[in-house]
Amino acid sequence: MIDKNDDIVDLFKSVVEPFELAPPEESWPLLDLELERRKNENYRRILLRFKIASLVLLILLMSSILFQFYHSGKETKYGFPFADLRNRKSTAYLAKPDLPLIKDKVELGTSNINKNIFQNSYDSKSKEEIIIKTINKYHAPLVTNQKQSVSGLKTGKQKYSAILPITTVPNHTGRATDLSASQQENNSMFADTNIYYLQSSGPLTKPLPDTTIVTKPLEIVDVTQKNEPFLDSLNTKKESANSRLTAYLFFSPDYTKQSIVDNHNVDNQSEADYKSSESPDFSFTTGMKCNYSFNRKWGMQSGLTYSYFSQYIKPVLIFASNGSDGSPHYALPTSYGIVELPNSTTSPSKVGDSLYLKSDSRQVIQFINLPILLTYKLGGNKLSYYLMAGASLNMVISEKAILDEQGTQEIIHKVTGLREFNQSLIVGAGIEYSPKNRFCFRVEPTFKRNITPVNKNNPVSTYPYSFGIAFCLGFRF
Amino acid sequence: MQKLIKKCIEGDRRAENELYTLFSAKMYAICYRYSKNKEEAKDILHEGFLKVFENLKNFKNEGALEGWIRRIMVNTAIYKYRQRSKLYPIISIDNIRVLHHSDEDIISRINAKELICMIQKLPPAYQMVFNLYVFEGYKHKEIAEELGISEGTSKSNFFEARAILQQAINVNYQNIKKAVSR
Repeated sequence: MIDKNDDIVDLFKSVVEPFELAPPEESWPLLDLELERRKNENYRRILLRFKIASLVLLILLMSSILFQFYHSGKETKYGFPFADLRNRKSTAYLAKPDLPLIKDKVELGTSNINKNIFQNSYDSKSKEEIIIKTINKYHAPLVTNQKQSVSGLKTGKQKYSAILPITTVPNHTGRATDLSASQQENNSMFADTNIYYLQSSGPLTKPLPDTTIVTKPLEIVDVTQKNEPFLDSLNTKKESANSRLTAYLFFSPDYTKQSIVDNHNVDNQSEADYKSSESPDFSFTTGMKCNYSFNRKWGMQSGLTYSYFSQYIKPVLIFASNGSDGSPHYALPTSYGIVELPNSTTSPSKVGDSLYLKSDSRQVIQFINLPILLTYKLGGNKLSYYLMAGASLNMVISEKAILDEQGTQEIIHKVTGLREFNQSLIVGAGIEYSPKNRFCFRVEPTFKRNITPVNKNNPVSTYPYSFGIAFCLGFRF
Repeated sequence: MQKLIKKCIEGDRRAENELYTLFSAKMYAICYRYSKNKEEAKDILHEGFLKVFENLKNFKNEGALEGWIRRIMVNTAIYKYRQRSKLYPIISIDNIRVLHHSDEDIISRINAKELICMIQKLPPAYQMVFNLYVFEGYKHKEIAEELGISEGTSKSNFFEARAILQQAINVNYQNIKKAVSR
């Protein structure tokens, strides 16, 4: 009996439910092919990640080697004898009777921060002031003293990678030599990245406090003669230390993917579908940015950059829907928006018609970005490391899709549902090499992730993220 | 079966083929019911099995594998429907006369493929609601959530689908009915 509503349901249940239907013969070969393709893609993806990780490691390794080479080279060149005395008790060598120190004029004190941090204090009325001022002439930003009364010296705590007491230098013209205790008769001036110190022969009045001294001299300078090149280099250093603004030109190849959130929140079908159908193509960011240093550590970076994003979309069956002009158009849904095909080549007869795009399609979106980042510099002058974090405002300037429509390539410049503006967060790190001239070079791995979706009015919200390595050439103003 | 699943997770293509052979006929019939034609059914089956192999590692062995695969197929069909839902025009069914027949022999002469064809001819929204309600045992509230419609719409779609199917059975089997009554 099918005169009741339930009978219809029962009829369908009983007849249709156990029904089985052999799938078309080509189903498995197609599936097999796709599984193979995905397997290869997974391998490629793993390989790409491995390559990126290797590249980053290589860059870090090379920069470390460069850093080591730079420092060790200097030490070897000048045969600095205290290179091995790092972290040794100062009294181990400073208390030698022939080492000239005047304790009541120049003191070393330990800091409560860590062993390698010192504060220097001295009597500004003493003769040593002259010496300090002389030193200060070259390294005022780097020398710190507690007493503000000493002109030209900064106050507050200062991290020293190396410091030795300022000694009396009755006449600091003499032949330069190193700090070897056996060569105390010679006056020397030592320079390192942070401080200059002088040494001359004379009586040791008091031993220094028992404290750790780390010595990292970079250069030993002959002050017996007028060493013009050195003085020039000091001036250059001073200049470069004073230059706060640096402009960079950069190029960064990017690996871009997207995180997709299903707005229906029922299952993750959309996310999985887009993830499986879309794969990254070559993308990059380039442009100009400026870095302004507030002080030796902190700075701000901003500029104007251009991003080129491209992705592949695998062959897919697309359907016709009512387009922006009211007539049926084929539409390719992508995680960035819907690409509406014009009816010039193939027009659907009605809404719901389907069309199979036989080969890979490509989607290209171009952005102009306005990044603002805070930077924190680590390390020394020539080779330094830095961290950065900030945000970027991105504006879409162009979008297009390249589709293979039944053998004909169609370029479509309209992607509906793409937001004009979006924002992203950026974090990164970098290595900067600054030779003595005004140019500098940077290698900067960065990670960027959108905090607002790139699309709107879509079943999914798309948040692109990218990993890139920027190669920068900078010029100090 | 667990051995087979394990091999599939390891990416053994033979095992994947075996799993496909085991369930493809059953699943294709389900996909066919949710689609408008064989091409579309094939597409759902293809995507569904890709998801099955991709997510097999997440299968917890808590229920039957067939049920799990079926769920994936149905979800794929729902997703496909949602993707295209705005493409389908809403068909209003006016003046549908609900016909009551009382011939048990009609049932015995109806074959499954013909019934599925009737389901396929339903407007997409009705087809989806009818399938989910009758074969998957979804409540109207659940259907509403899945398809992004109201519960009332789900109910009315179901009633109208049922009415259309009744009418279709009546029309298509008029001759059979006459023959039986003779």
